[in-house]
Amino acid sequence: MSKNKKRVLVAMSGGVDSSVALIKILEQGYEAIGVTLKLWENKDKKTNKVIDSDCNSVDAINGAKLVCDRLGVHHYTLDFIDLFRSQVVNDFSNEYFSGRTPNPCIRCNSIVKWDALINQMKVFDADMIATGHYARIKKNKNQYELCKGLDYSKDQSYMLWQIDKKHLKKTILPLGELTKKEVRKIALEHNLENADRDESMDLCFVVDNDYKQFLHEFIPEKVKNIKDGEIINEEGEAVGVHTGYTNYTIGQRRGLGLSFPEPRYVKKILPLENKLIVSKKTGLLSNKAYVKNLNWMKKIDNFPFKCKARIRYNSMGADVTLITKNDEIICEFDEPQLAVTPGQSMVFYANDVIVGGGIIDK
Amino acid sequence: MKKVYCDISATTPINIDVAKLMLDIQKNIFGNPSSVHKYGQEAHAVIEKARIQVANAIGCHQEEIIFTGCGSESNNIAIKGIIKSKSHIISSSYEHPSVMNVLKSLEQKGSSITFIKPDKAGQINPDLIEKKITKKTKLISVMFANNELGSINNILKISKIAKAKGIILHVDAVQCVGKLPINLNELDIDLMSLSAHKFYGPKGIGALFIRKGIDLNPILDGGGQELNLRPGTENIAGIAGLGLAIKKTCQNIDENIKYTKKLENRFINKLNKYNIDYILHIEDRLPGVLAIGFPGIDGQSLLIALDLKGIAISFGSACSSGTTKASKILLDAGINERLAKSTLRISFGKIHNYDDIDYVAAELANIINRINK
Repeated sequence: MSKNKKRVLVAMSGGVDSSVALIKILEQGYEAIGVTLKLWENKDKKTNKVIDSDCNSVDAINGAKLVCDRLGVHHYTLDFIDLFRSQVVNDFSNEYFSGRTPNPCIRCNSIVKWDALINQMKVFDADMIATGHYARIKKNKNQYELCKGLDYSKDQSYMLWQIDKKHLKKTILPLGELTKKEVRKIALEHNLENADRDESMDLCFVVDNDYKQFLHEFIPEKVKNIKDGEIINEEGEAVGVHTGYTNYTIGQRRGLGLSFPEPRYVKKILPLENKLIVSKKTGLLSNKAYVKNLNWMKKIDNFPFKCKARIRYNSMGADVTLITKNDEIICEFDEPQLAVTPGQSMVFYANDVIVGGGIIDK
Repeated sequence: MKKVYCDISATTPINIDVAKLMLDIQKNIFGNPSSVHKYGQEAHAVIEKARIQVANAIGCHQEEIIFTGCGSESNNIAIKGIIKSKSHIISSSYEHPSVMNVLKSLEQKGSSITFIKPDKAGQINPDLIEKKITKKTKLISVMFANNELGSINNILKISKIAKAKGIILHVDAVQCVGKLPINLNELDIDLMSLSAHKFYGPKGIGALFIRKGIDLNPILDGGGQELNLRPGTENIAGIAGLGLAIKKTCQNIDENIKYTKKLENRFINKLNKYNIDYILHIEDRLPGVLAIGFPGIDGQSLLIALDLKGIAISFGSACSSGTTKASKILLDAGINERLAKSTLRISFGKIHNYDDIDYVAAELANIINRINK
């Protein structure tokens, strides 16, 4: 490969989005190299043979290879299985074990897709990386800003809050200005076989999206020790029995085995006492939340700071006031928010721009 | 950009005369070799001509050669065909999967297998084989040369041991044919596998040498082709390609070895000149096959960076690629895990010239400097 053009590593999942990202990168005049990250292998328990999972199915890797071959682009599969296990999957299981609800994709984006891939740039003699995320990076007075994708219904900026801001200037997000419809159209125009293959929204390492079964297999000794326990109400009275606290998430209603005229929801998980607290829906409302493990994309000069906060991927954003306290943020909601869930990410926005984010602690 | 293919241990480009011959046969000879008419006779003659070419190249009788689909198939036909009941088998820990997995499946069916690990020189010690022989030992299966290390086994000595004890010897010579002279008149090998695409022939065709008097059970049932051991209408063009390729490779083998050694030396001298830190694992090796470690550099990364410069090498064997785990073969040969992960296989041959060698060494130096920065 000659190197008179800037060289971009394009992270390819084999799905339509990353394939179109590759097409856009080539259209923009870059030289591209496709890479697929191998993150996990599920083994069949009986035969011990590797079986497909969404993230690295043979189909996905072959799909990416085919697209790259068609576009005359080199493609490589990078084995990040060890890194993914130690940094993402271990954290995922520890969080559940601590009674929290993690978001492993966000951790994977920052530690694997960005840190590790940027680290690979010198191997490839590359200048930039690109992914098929629906988000935008804009340059504003020599500062790079991470912004929502123009297609709000597909916006994935929430998933990217944790990436190191110094990586932004080395990142291209070619789909940020496009709608999903436009992306599909481009795929069809290029006769991509995967034009109708959606990017998976499931956890790539969890078969059939059954995280309980996954924990059972990944940390069997720990899970074995998690026994049935009491379900209590807000007053501390026993109202039922749960099957092990890792089987529940905040806001969960189904599968509690309770019969009240008005439905009950999981309000709090108490791992040390092995108890669940349930409440009516109104009991799930919070006026504030404590946020830790912060990553600031923009410098905030003055606190308290007013902005919008998304407390989960599909939330629209709530008006909040941020107050600093040591290494955490106290986030006061203008309107009470439903099911603020420890372990999930809270991302702060000023209009379309990500200011920063963190992990909800309580 | 210059392109240099240095992975001839994985496969070789097809010799142009071989390709022409095959195309000619594909176009003009389509008869079924089993047919009685002239069309069949023509096709049959193509096969028998190739059989003679193979026999001449490796010093055996033409009736001792059958054509198969590939080296893996040859290994399967040989081992599964000779082991007819629960037996003891001696082999090495670094066989190709088409031997290793056959042995493991025989083990599950009740045979017992002794796997001998290579020594520091990458060789299977013949004395160790001798020590492991029991009254029940039916077969010894050891590869002629190892595909990842390039080390060469003392098959002469192993064959003498096997013969003295009346044990059948199978040798997977897929990596070796075309790189070293093999004369079956002087070696007491009973079964030997080879594959055309390792010596500038086509893919999808292999052969198995079966010494007269050795009786194999067929693993495939069908028509009586290839001594009843490989039924199915023959791949005429492939067989002809294999025949011509082995003839061409073996007739100049001594010159090729000398030439390849010169390339190797030039490469090593260049690495020294560039002050590259490297460790050449095997002293006594197949001509042109280098298992070479670059301490501190991730092998998979080096492979990719070289590929982007048009240089093809491999990290482990092609049969185990796509992983960054340390090769078990390298570990078994006493190479530590870190160094194993930094070890590449670079294989040169008659297709290369000094320019190629110089380019590879210079780019290696550039890349290592860049990655180390």
